[in-house]
Amino acid sequence: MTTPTQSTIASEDTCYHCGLAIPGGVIHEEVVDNQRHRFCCTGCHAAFQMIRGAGLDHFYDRRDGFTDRPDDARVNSLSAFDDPAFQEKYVQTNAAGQQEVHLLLDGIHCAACVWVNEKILQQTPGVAEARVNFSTHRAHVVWDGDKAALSTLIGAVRRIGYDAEPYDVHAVEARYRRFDRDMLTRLGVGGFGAGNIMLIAVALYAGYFQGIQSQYKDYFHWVSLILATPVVFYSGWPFMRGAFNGLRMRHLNMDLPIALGALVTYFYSVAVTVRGVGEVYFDSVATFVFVLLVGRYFESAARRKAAGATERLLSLEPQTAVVIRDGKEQTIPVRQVAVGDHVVIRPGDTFPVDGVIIQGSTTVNSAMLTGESLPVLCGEGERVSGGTSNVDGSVIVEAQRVGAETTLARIVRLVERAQSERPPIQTLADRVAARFVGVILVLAAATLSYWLWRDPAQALENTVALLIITCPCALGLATPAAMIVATGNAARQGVLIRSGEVLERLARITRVVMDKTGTLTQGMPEVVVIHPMAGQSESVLLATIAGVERHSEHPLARAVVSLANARKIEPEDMDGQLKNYPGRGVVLRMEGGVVYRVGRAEFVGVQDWQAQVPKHEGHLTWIWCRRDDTIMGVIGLMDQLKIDAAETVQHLKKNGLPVSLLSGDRQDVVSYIGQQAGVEQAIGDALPDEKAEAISLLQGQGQRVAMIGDGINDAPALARADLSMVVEQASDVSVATADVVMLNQNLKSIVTLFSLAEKTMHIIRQNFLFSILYNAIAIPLAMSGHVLPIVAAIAMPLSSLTVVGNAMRLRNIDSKQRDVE
Amino acid sequence: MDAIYILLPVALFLGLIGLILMIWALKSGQFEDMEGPAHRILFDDDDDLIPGKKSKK
Repeated sequence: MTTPTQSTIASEDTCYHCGLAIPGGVIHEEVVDNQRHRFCCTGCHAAFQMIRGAGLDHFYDRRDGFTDRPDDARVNSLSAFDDPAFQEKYVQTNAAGQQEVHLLLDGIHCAACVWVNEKILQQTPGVAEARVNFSTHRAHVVWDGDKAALSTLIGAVRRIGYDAEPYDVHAVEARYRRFDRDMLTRLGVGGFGAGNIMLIAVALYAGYFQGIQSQYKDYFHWVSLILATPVVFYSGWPFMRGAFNGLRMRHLNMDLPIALGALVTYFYSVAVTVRGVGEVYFDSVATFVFVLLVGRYFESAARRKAAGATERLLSLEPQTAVVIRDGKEQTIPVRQVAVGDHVVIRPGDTFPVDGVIIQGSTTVNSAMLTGESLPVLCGEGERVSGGTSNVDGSVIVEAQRVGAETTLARIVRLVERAQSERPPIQTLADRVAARFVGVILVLAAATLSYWLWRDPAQALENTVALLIITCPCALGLATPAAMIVATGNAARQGVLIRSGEVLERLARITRVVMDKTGTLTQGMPEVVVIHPMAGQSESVLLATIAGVERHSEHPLARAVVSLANARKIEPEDMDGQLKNYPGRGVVLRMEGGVVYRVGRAEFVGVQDWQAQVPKHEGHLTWIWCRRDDTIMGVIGLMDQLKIDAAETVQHLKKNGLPVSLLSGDRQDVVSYIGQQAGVEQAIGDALPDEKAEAISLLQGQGQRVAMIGDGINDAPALARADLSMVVEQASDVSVATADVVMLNQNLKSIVTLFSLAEKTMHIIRQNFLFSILYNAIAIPLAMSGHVLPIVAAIAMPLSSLTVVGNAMRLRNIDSKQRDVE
Repeated sequence: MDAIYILLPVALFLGLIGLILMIWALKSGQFEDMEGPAHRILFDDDDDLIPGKKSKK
């Protein structure tokens, strides 16, 4: 992502390319047109040279924000993109024998970004065409497969600091696009027809009041008929198809009253036109189909937008592994790794397969897979699971389980099973529609029999009038209008809602289950205690540890460095020989002979350390620091609750939603965190399938459960729950199953979301009430034979506008309002 | 009033042309990128096409 900085003019001490601070002692400079540009790293420098070399240095004057720093690891390991099996899914060959691919670009934020990416791609040898879509951040590239490999294209983009991944347009996108075009064409035809019929109707209404010669009236009727026919049968086709499908599945839905209303009104008007006696309702039927179609279109557009945004979160990067074969290291796609292969895993990588460490030792972070908050040390002979990440040591692992056998694959199967077991829910709109149809049919029968007894000549006419006037227009708009406004509101607050009916499920939830690590807590350790030994100061201790650990990727080290930064304590500038002992600590030998040891008590050499640490609640990890023989002090870290965690839990409880904590971490840690957050129940030591079981258990007690999580281990539980929410930076498996994705770190948006859902349902019910009220007035008129086209023409749009206007009230519900309550 | 017999079809015909244009625009992808083209006009990447102006490179 780009830095939030608005200015693009890099000052002396920030990088010209990415805008980040330049670390001391690093010199990368370039003098262009008497201006000195400084860079933070070789990557940014190379990106600048590449952009300038391509004659694109205008880019820097035009962009609206800084560009990302190119990531070496992502630039260099690209060979897996050229795997034919991978390409089969993403790369097409066109008629001219050229290759075509869609790339999803990350980091695009202004027109200059679009421009520089297009140019860089176009200048790659072999590329015939490259075009970047600014709205979707997607590039469409056509190139000669013999002259350039896919990895070359992706490499070119990544080298200048953007990210690119192939995008499978055929899966979701193509379907959406076809649907979109289809809908817009229907809308165009509907709008054309409805608009013109309305103009003609004005003449007819004038004639109705002032008198009109029958030849003109007939003429207007026939023209209206011609215009209305495509509107009803072409534009209205989605409703008829929906109603028909519903009937076939023995399931009454909202499409049924719509289709019924449209057809009855249309055929009645046709009969009037042919016979040349009476009034037509072509204007009503055309407007009504058009307005409902507009509602449908916006609803599907909102859904597509959410789906697109979620998809963007999923990584399509092919997973690779470095294996040792014939004594050489080779990068191969993960699925080609065989049992018994020796796999090399470097710090920062993810373990690709399940296996046993045969060489080296490292700290393994399994937060995603198990929910354990702290990384653990793994040495030779210990098992590691695919999906966990390697923090700080290089190890060689012998693969034991690959492909479908791995822990990760097993969890994915659990997810799929849980998803298939989830029962479909009947939405409120469908239930209302079913009743509505039932009531109308009964009323129609009653009208018919009454008039047959009273005056058979009027019987058919009045029955049809009843069917015409019972306009399901407002009824059909009641739900979509509210859903569109509510999902739009949520999206502005950084919450993506997959589909409208999610809001309905949200409103019916009775219990919330949360994951601990990464959901309720920060997901990474934070410094909570700084305890200098006698004669030492807090800031010196912090500066020293931060200085030693400055370049470490270990989460504990990063926590210390970030605290030092936050307190504006300059980490001590210490250069010397740094040696890392994974899982234990680091040793720094300075040139002057001073030796620093930072790490665990045993490693640093502290005797009887338990007695020396200050009393503190919870389970802290301690880092000791020693300078030569002096023990300088100790820092305690733990994975802390997010700032708004306790408040969120309380709010939920107040709204009648008790919260359970469900984690794979140790029971005592979970209990402690649970107590701090104030949850009802805290369950620890839960394996992924046990998590799903726990959800089932609650459901068995009649609860409707919302699960909020992030990790791979939460995925089966997420799929099992009545509603699933994932927080930012959740694993791909979880995002793929989620109904709701939160794009911010703000836990309180959960509370807002629940209240938004509740308000939405409230508005939907009100909308139904409005439309029923309208019908309650109009139906008696029709039954007694008093309905006129003018009544329908005024009442129908009025009821639709009321409903849409009411839904608009959902726009202004936000988190601030929540605080006041 | 007989003019209406001609005027109405003419008006509808004009409207129909509009509808066909809209469908053509839709089919040819004019609605795919609603932001890009507005910026694209400002890219000064046609220097070598302008007579008398030398490309920077």
